[in-house]
Amino acid sequence: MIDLEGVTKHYEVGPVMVTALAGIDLHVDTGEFVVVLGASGSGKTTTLNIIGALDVPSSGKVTVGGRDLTTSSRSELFALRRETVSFIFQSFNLFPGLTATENVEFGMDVSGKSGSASPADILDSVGLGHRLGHFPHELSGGEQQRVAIARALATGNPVLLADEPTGELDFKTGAQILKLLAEQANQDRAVLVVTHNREISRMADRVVEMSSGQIISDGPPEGGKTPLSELHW
Amino acid sequence: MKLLRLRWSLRDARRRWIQIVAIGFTLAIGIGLYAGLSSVTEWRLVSTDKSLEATSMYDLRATVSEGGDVSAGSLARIAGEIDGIHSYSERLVLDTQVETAVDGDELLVHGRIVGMDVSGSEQVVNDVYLIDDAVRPAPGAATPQVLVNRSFATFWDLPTSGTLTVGGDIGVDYVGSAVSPEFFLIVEGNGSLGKSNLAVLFAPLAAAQDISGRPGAVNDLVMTLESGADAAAVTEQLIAAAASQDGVLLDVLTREETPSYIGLIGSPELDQGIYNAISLLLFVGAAFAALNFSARMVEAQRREIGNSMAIGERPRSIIVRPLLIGLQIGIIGMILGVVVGYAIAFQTVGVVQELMWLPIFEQPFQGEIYAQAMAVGFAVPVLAVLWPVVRAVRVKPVDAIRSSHLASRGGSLGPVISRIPLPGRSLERMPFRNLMRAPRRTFLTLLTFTMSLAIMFAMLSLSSTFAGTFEQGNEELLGSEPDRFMVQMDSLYPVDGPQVQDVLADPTVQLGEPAMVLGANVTATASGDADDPIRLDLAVRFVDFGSTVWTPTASEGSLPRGSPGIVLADKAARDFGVGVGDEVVVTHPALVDGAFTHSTRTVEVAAIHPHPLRLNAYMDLSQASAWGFGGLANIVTGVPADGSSLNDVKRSLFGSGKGVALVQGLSETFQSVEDSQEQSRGVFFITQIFVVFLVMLIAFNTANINVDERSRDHATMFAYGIPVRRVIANLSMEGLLLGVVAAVLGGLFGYALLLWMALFLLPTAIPDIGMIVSVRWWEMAVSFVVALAAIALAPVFPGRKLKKMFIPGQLRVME
Repeated sequence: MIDLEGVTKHYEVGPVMVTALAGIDLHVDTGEFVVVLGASGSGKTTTLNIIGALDVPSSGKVTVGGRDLTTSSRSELFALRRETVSFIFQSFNLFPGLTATENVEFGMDVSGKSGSASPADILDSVGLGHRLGHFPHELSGGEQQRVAIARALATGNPVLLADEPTGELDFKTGAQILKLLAEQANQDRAVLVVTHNREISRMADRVVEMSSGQIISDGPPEGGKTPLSELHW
Repeated sequence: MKLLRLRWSLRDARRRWIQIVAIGFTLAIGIGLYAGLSSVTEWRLVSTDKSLEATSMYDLRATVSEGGDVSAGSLARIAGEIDGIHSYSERLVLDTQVETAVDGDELLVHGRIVGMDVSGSEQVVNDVYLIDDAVRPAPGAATPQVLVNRSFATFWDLPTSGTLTVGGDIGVDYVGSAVSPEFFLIVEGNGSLGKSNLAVLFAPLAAAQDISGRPGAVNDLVMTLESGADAAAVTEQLIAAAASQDGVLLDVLTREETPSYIGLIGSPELDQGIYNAISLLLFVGAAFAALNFSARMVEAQRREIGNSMAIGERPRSIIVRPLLIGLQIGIIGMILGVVVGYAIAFQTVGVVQELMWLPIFEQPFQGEIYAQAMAVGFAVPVLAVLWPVVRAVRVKPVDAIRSSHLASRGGSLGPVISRIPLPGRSLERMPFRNLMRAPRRTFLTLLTFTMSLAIMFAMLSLSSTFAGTFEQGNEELLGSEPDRFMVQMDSLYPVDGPQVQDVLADPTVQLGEPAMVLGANVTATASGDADDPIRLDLAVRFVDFGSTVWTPTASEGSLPRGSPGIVLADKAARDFGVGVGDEVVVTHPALVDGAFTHSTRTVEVAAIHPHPLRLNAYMDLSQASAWGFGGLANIVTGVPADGSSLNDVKRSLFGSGKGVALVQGLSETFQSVEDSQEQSRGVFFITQIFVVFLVMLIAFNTANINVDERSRDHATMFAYGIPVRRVIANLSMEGLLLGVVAAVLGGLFGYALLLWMALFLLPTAIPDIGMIVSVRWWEMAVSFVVALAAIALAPVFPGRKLKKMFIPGQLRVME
């Protein structure tokens, strides 16, 4: 589903050239729950942005859902974001003017895929069946992130990209969110979660650890996959 | 610390300079419109005074009534015997016909010979002011020499000198162009059309007497009065002396009653009232824009303010930074206000000078006016910024530094309104939801648009109200005969005499009807203040109420055919406070034993007619005998015979008829009044341009702020694959929704403003005209569509910013 071959990314910061990615290779299959782990500045978010067609690599090849992003036009990249990938952000990024239901409807509307589940069903599936008509500012942080996940799920896209999804949440709420994301991998989606929290990586199928723009390890979590109930942070 | 705040504030300003300049410019338009328009009024008044002084305009003008004349010297002798008269000049003023050729085409126009002292003597009252290369006419030239009025010469681009034919067959040489105070502004004959078809010829008195065939005669006396002289007392003495010594009736006009003077001075109360109203609305609009902007800016600095409070900074110190932004807006508004004011003033001066030409036109800087406007313009943003800042520093620091999803959002109507179910997809609902999410902010933006559109509505409607009023006047005068004309005789003549009969029998004339018009002073008896009753000078027209060609329309009551009732204009009846069946007291000229005198009688109001001019009153022709004018006429109305044009009528009557002073299409008679409003309409047009610009500016500013504020929302939309054009369309829709509501509210406010101006301001400033409120809806619709298009298109401009957005950078922005 996701293929990165020799991807580099350089930024010019004033007179200084910063290397965010120094030639990484990565392959993620459908049904995988992958955690990209790394400290701040390691290149994990840049990787996520390139996979999500929000940014373009300086060199290398990126293929998502069979589409080569490095040769795609601007409109094709927009189409990829509508039809293939969905984002979940650390700060939720819900539309403040829309209710929970409408935020989820947005996901459906943009992808143009009308599945069997209604926005209410999807919100119910993330445990928010009782908060349908609430606006983002009337919801707690955990509830807002669950609406954000519901919005991403509503697109029906096969790739879920989550950038520090638990970054603003307490442990209990964060655990609920991770459980939801893990479940999506079981429904034939490729789920990529970026975090700096090593504890979270313990529940992944696979952990990709990055440092200084390079992948320094890629495999199952150390000590094997751990049930959510045993995680603490 | 103070310098740090200043630097910090300047950095804020640099980051948001487009919005700051835009709001400053909004204020500048308010300042500029007020100061610019008010300056033009001042310039006009100052320049008029100086021009009138330079040409010694008369304080009083006495004209021998009903086309009569007296021997030269007799009027001067009377003036010389009356205390209070400083200087005086005798003149012979007669209407004629002027012919010339322009670019090979024959030009035949109504003319007026003003025989006077053109020597340039300092004693001359109502002197001529020579233009460029003009020379003074030589009194004894073999061919009479004249000066042509500037407006006519300029309009037709006449050479510096040439020849003209007057009175059918008399050749004269013109030796240049000139103006005199009565013709700085053409308000007679065909109004401003008179620039093209009123040829005033200033000639030495003797030459005028020769041309007109009235040797040794004068009919006009212009006078200046001693300082403190009682004009009314002088007038009484003049009239009495002329009646006793020469047996003639004098019509005396003060400078203030002279139509051209009234037009020159205009109505400062009306001008200022309208300017104040426009400027006030603009200031209010700009204040809302500044308030909205500063509230958004303070909201954006919420966490910084919270941090400052958390580290113990004093509120009065915290408010300095945003307050400095208010000061910057105020300063920009003041500086640009002067520029805009001058731009508006010079544009308006062009309109003024197009209509009236003054030999002296001064444009001194109006410091006081600008100071007033700039003081208000400066205070508006400062006060507007204060409120949200003071509100912000009263929030608990812990609330101020919270992340947005934890910050309290209580109290507003937003959540309630936002729950209104809406049709369509989520993206289509988003513009409305965004508006409802922040009702206060939406309301402020809405008010800003509303004020601008209200001004546009009021200005356009005021213009159409003037036009509608004049149209109604023309419809009433013309009836079913659009070519109807009036022949003004140069004196009273027997209806069966050759003068009137020649006109009636002229082959170019059909449906001719003799009639008579007499000036009268009318007072209401039944209402008003008994000690100080309302007195109006009206023109009573004696017409045949049995005519099949034309009679006035009776909107109330019925025309008193064969009986002595009077038909008053609706405006006159309202001013008098009388209706059909009430009585008025009429003081009028009367002809008793061949001599003119004055008589007073009580007359019943028989009907009301709808002509907007208060001046016009009607009585049946049969009643002229009761005033001593039975069987006489001084006007003849008619229509051109089949195959004849109005020009043919003029040519024919001037060529053969005796006693014809003026031939004029009735559609032209109201033109002068209409044209006197031309300046106002020109100013309205300039104002409209600025208002449309203002709407665009506010729309642009709003869109720009929205793009800045919602960058994360937009980044999220892009992350979900929504194209930039769809985001811009949503922003446009948001503006359009506001614009449509603003258009409705602006229409209502504008209509209220129009009613205030038409029903309260105008009747005070222009009491002679009964305004008929009229809105041209199609014109209004087009203007509003243009304004709405401007609002809808505004988000296209910050669209570039959206296209260049670095999406990941915006998605990870933390509060």
